[in-house]
Amino acid sequence: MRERQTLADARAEKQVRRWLRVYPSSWREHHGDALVDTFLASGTGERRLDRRDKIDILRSSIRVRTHAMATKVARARSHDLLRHLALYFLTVQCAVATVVAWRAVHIGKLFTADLTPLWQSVVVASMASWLAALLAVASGRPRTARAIATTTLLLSAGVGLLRALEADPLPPNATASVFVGALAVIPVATIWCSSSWPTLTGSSMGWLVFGGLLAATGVWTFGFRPHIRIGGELDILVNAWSVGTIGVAVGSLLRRPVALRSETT
Amino acid sequence: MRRESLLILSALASEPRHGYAIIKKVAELSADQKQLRPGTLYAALGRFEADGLVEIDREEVVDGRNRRYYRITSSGRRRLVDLVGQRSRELEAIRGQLTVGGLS
Repeated sequence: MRERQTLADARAEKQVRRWLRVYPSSWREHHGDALVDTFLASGTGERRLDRRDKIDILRSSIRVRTHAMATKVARARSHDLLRHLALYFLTVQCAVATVVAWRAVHIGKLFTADLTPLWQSVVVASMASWLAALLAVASGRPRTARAIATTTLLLSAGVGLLRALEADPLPPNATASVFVGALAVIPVATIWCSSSWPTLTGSSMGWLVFGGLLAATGVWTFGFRPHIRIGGELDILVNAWSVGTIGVAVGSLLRRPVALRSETT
Repeated sequence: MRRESLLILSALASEPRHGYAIIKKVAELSADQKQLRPGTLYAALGRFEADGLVEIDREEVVDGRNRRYYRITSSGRRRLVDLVGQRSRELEAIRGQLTVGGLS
C-alpha cells in the first residue's frame, strides 16, 4: 500500500514538475520545490493535476512573468533617472569647482582665505577631478565616476574645508565652506545610487552614519577654532570621514530598490 | 489588493505556515468560499516576498521534499491592518446605504 502511494506521489511530482516549466527558471528554482510539496500535500497520494490546476498554473505563470517584467522596467527607469541626476549634479559641481578654482588661481583666495601656490594647485586638481568624474558618468562608467568623485569629495572636503576654516573659522568663510561641502555630497550620493556596487547596510551603516554626523557636528561647530583642536592634524581625517559618511548614508537611503506598490493582480 | 491576497496575508498573521497550511487556513477564513490553488498561492507569495510583506521562516524536509514556512513581516502586518481598516470602512459605508434604502 505504502509502495503504491510512493509510486503515485512520484508520478504526480513528475507531472507537476513538467508543468512548472511554464514559470521563469529563476522563479522555479526559488519556489519550485515548495510548490511541488504543496501540490502533493494537498492530495491523498493519488493526486493528479486536474484541468483547473493546469489553468491555475498557466494563469499564475503569466502573473509571475508580468510582475517580473514590471519590476524590471521600474528598476530600469529608476536607474536611468539616477544616471541623469548624477550627470546634472556633477555638471553643477563642476561649475562650482571651476569658479572656486578660478578664484583660487586669479585672486589667490579660497572664499575669503588666502591661498599659497600649493593650495591653489590642490583646488585646481579638485576641479579637474570633478570634470573627470563627469566624463566618466557621461561615458557610462559609474564605478569609475564613483571612485573619482568619492575620493575628490573626501580630499577636497577634508583638506579644502580644513584649510579654509583654519584660516578663518567664522562666517561667511565657514558658511561658504560648509555649503560647498554639502553641495559636493549630492553628486557623489547620486552616483552611489545609480551604480550597483554593494553598500554598507544595517547596524554597521547606522553606527558609521551616527559617528559621522556626530563628528561633523563637533568638528564644524568647535573643532576648527584655532585654540580648540581635537586631534591636531588628524582633524583632516575626522572631517573627511564625517562628510564621506553623510554622502554614503544619503546614497544608501536613495539606493533602495524600487518595488511596485500597486499590485497588478 | 485582491481578496485572495488579503486572505493569504491574514492566514500568516497568527503564525508561520507552509503552503498547504495556508491553503487550508484561507479556506477556513473564507468559510470554504475560497479554494486557493498552489499556483496562485506561490505567485502571490513571490510578489509579497519581493515587496517585503512576507519572508521565509524556515524550511523542513518532509518525505524527501522541501517544505517551506512563510511568516508575515512587520511591514506586511502594517499593510494588512491598513487593508482591513479600509475594507471595514467600505463595508460600513455599504451598510449605511442599505439602511438608507430600507433594505436592512
